[in-house]
Amino acid sequence: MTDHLLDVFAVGLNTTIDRLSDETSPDNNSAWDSLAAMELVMLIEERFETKLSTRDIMKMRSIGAARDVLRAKGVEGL
Amino acid sequence: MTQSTVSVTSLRQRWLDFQRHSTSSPDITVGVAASFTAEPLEPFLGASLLDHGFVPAITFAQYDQIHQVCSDPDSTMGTVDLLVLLWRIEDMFSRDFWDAVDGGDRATTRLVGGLEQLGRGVGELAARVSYPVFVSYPPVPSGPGIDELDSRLGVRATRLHGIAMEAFMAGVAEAPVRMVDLNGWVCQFGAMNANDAAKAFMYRQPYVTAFLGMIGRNLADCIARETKPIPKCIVVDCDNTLWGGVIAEDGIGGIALGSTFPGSAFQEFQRVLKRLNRAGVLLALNSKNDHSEVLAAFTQHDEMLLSTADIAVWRVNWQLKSQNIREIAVELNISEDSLVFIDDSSHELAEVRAALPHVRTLQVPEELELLPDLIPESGLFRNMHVSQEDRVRTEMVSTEGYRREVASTLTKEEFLASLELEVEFFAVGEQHVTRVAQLTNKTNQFNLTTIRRTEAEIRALLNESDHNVYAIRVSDKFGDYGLVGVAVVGHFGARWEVDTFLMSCRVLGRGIETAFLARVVSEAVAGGAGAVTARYVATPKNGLVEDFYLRHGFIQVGDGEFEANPIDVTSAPGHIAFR
Repeated sequence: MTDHLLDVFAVGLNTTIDRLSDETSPDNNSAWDSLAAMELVMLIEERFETKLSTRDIMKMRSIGAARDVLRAKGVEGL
Repeated sequence: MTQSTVSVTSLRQRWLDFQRHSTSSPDITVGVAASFTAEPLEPFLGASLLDHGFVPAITFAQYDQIHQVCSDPDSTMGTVDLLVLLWRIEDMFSRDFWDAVDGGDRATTRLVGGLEQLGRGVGELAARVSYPVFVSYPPVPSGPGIDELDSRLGVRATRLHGIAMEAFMAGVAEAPVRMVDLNGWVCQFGAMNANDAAKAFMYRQPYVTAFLGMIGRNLADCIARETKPIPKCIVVDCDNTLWGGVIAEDGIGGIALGSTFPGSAFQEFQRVLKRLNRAGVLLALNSKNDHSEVLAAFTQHDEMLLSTADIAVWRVNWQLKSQNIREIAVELNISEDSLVFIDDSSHELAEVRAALPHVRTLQVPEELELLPDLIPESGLFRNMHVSQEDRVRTEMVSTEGYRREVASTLTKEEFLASLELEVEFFAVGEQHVTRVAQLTNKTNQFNLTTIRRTEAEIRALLNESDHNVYAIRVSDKFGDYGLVGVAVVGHFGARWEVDTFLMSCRVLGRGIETAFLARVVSEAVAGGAGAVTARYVATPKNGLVEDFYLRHGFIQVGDGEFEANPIDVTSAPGHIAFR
């Protein structure tokens, strides 16, 4: 089963899915700088048809955290 | 006009794939400097440039480095083929703009001065570098906490935006700058839809993704115009193209052209052609008709907007349309690919396409309400005004001569700036009456109406509620010139009338008259004026100021009578400080 969230992060961090996991964060992925973070917000909003608030954005400190935020917003298929 | 929705994911993927796999070196390097975080534009601009056939590279200046890029493009931007400056008033002049909206006089002055300085910086950059410089015409500022539906705030912000942008454009002056209409794009998209508060606060990136897509696409179109020529001539059919119906059958009275549909659609189409013609596009007729019938429609039909003078070449005959187009191209000495042919008949269009594959063709739509948008939708002439004007200017400016001219202009500006001119603008009080009356009686050259007044008359004016008397005191680093200018202004509802405007000759040639008038007009604006009128009464001695109002944004409305929308009046020059 495809992990849509990892797909989005692969595009946003310009890498491949096998290099990503829920533990991936700005601390262990050098591509995840502030510009990439902004791109990721745009990509996530489009892919999951949602709007992220600043509070949502600030919680997304790892892919797993992003998954939790999106689940809490009722996004399905994660 | 429709805008397709943009998928950020697919465009970004396309841009990444291009960057990863492209082996050819870029044929265009676009530098972008912005007053906000502009990097998210990259995939949109990049993919749109790919669509135009470019092999692009895009580089970004550091965030909010517009001034630095203007003064030192090489070290801030690197080597580029083209520079885009995207700036917004609320990013660079936030405090002054909102203070001015809230009624701060000094804030308005600072804002206008800052905008003119920025305009000058952009203009000097464009005159200095060898590549095209694009700069945004920024939107009416919006900001957190601003109620976009509040009319009072909205109107003030819009008017101030106009005043501020006049100052910016005055600073740019004649420099070869390409304007990109960010303001228009925001309006098209809708300000409330375009802005994204979360990204603005988190990343200083103000716009939603879809609007970034629109910016990227429109910028790419502007950029493509630098290399893709605009058609030089539009060849049009007549029956069911310029008017509805067939002139030979329906007669002049029977064709559809006028204020009611469908005649109105044809009339609006003619208006588009007329506009393009005024902008330099040639028009030619290509119609299977008797020449005399078409000529009669042009000369006798009251609702024709096009006139015979607008048509460069007539081919009204019974030849093949492709043959006519060949002859038009020869007569105008232009190549077939600079011609656009518009007709309602699929048959005629097919004949032309088969014989002349390089001629672009457009067909009159069956739904006539779409006819006026036919040419705009094609995009064939989009951004023409800017670039054609600039192209002419580019030839002019690429010479050393222009640079020298810029240099000498700068020298004059530097000279003026070095004077440290200060103007004190104030309402005349009892203590000034003697000097004011003296000036109205002594001043001959710079005196627009030469109305002589006694001290008693001046005093009487001070007590009249519908008249204001203003004066200026001028000083520079060499000393104080004292009270040297007087204006008497009557206000009658939304119309303010400048009755007396005079200045002592010893302070002329420093832009002070411009600053004085700008201040009088800003008083009028503050007093609720929607229009300012003024008079010039010729005397044997005041020829100097004959065209003063015309040079300051007024239009002539009668013999010696002028009128201006306050927004159109020339702003105070940046080298003058108000005290």
